[in-house]
Amino acid sequence: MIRMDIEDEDDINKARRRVRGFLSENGIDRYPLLRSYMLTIVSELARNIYLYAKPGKVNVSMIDEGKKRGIKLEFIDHGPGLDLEKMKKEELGKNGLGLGLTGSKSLSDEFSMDSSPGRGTHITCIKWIK
Amino acid sequence: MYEAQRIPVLKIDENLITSIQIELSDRMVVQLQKDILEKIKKTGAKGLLIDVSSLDIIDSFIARSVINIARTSKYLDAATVVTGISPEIALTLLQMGF
Repeated sequence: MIRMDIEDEDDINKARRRVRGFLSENGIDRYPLLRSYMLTIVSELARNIYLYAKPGKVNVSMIDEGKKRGIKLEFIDHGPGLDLEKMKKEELGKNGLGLGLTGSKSLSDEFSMDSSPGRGTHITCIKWIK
Repeated sequence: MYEAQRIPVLKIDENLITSIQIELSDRMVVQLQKDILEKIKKTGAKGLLIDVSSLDIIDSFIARSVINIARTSKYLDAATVVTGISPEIALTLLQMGF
């Protein structure tokens, strides 16, 4: 498992680099599409933390569930949080924040977001190795 | 804020060529956008080639920036060609809704 802090702009690149190394060590280079999805999600959501809710954390780990093996990405911040009901009404994806979020959701097999105004945001993305 | 590391933009005949060979930061993307547009204006180039074959990731920020470069270049009368998008990157962008 790796843990990274996101505080300034360079941390977005650092996160991408460390996740590259992590995926490599765990044999994910054999799955180029999965690798691309994972790196892209990290880039999108680390940037969202930097732009809207810094400082925050990114955790990346390998997970096992029965016979399934997967990668779990977590993005945690204590920023302004999101009003999920309001965002649903306004349709995610209309602004910069939404594009990274909806994009990351589409790239994940399992996606969950826990957030409310003033309480920060916790996003979990899981991708199973097929 | 210190100046971002620059990606070279070369002029060959009527065209500009830029090949992104290093890991992109957001600052560098913004700088590249500025440099390309200024150079098109200065040289009156008619074509722009952006080679992204060394990149292993193109996220929404980079994708949008490249699209913006192509659109703005068109207004300045230069046509853009992007080369070297890997199949994985193409599929990732498609999946994200581009």
